[in-house]
Amino acid sequence: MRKANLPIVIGSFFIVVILIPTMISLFYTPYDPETMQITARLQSPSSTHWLGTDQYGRDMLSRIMTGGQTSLLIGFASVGAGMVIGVVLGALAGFYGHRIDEVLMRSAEVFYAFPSILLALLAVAIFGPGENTVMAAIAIANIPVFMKITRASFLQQSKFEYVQAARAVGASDLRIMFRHILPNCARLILVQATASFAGALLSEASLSYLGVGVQPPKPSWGRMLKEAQAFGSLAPWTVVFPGIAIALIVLGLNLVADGLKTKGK
Amino acid sequence: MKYVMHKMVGLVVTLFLISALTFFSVNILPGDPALLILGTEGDPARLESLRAELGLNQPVVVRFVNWLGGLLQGNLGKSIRYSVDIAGLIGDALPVSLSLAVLAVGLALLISIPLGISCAVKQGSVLETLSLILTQLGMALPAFWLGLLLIDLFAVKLNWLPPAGYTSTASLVLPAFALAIPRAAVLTRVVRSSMIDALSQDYIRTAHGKGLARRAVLYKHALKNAAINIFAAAGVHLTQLLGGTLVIEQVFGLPGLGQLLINAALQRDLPLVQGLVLVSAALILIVNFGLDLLLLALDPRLRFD
Repeated sequence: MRKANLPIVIGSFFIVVILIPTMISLFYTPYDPETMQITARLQSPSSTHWLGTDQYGRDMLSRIMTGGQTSLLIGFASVGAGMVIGVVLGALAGFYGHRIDEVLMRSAEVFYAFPSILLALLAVAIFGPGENTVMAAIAIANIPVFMKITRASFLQQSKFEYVQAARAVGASDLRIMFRHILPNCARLILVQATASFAGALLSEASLSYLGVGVQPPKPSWGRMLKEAQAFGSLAPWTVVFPGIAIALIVLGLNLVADGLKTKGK
Repeated sequence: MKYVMHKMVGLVVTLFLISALTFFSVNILPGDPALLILGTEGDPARLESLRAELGLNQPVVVRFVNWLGGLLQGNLGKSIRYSVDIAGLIGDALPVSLSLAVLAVGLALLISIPLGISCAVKQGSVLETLSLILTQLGMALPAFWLGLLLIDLFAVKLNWLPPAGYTSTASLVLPAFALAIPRAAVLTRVVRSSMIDALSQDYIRTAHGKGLARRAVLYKHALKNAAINIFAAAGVHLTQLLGGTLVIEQVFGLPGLGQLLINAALQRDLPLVQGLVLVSAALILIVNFGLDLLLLALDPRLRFD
């Protein structure tokens, strides 16, 4: 039996700790996450409100559970889109080389100079704030990384004999690229996707904290931190718990990515 | 030298592409800055004259060439909201962001170098396991959340440092720590692995063999060779922070580039956004280029590639 990979086990545990309450919130939350109850403002954690209430008397636990939906969805969709586009472009660059490679990688370098937050704010200035803008910006910011690793592994794989063999039996370029070469690069891409997912969650939280991401009254972890900032010293739980939620899932994803990387060696 | 020239040409091309990208993404899309300034109930005649004043009645390519010409003379145009020179606004805000980024990377190095070295020397020790756990944790903490907690602890509860605003260098301490902790976590791992790598080389065995003191082997031989890696990694963090201080600036109310950009983006002050994005991206590229050259000067091995 193979030895269990500790980082993957611990990482998956943290991910599940966040994922399960988020899934449950799809059909059940202890309180309505958006209903304000002025008589129950800023209550500390108790048996009625496990994680306390915010400045409008909204239940923190319900808001963190529901906020997970938005954050995870944005992270998943943006990394997914960035990955598909990046992998296809990187595959083209690595497989065909020459001119195509040069043009594609030069453009990727341009995007490398834009940190994702900068790109997101440029998008906000043009399209206005909101979830979709943020999602698109994070997706675009993720394209170059996937391009780079896919291109590198395609360059390496193209030299192997199985590629020549496939060509000799008359497989088309597309078939060679996506049926033969791509599966051999899958692990590296998966490791990057996991790490990128963690990064996307942090970006989304930052942008929602800045007020340009998820818009109220919809809960999101970053947005909750923005609203809690003024009450941080009065009601520390409003700042502490959403942050822990972000840190836990990011920690889990990073651990899994680390574990996958060492497992491949 | 040929390599440097090649890199230089690449830099100029990338800078041009970046300015084109920023300009066209802001200008080709629908939306009328003149309408934005005057509001939809503005006087149509005023609207026309303002359009002419802003140069909006010219074709977009002509405007791009004009803007580019201005750029080369250090003129970034005027902000719509503040009606002042963008170059001046950026000039005021840049030192704040820049010193914050440099301070944060400096702090991160100060934490990570000793920690990483002791991890590499005492492999398998409790200290190493503990630091590896702490670095994982450090990488997962959102810097802005850390900032909020630091304000609460050191500014509100203990009253040691100012909570927000920019009055003196003391205002930069907490934000720099908030930025430095996640970076220090990553850098500790870099220091550790480069030191382990350096310590496993033959010349280290030779140095031990000829009876050199442990201390000298560690610092003169191993660290010197690991330093290139550490330096390169620190450079990456510095470039990332050049565009990445903005959330922390917002947390601590620092008047840096970030705050300027967030307000400009929310108020759709497009010329200002355009200028800020361009300056930040250019800064990142140029610093990157400088770091590449510095590495080349420091490590003769790189010159043969």
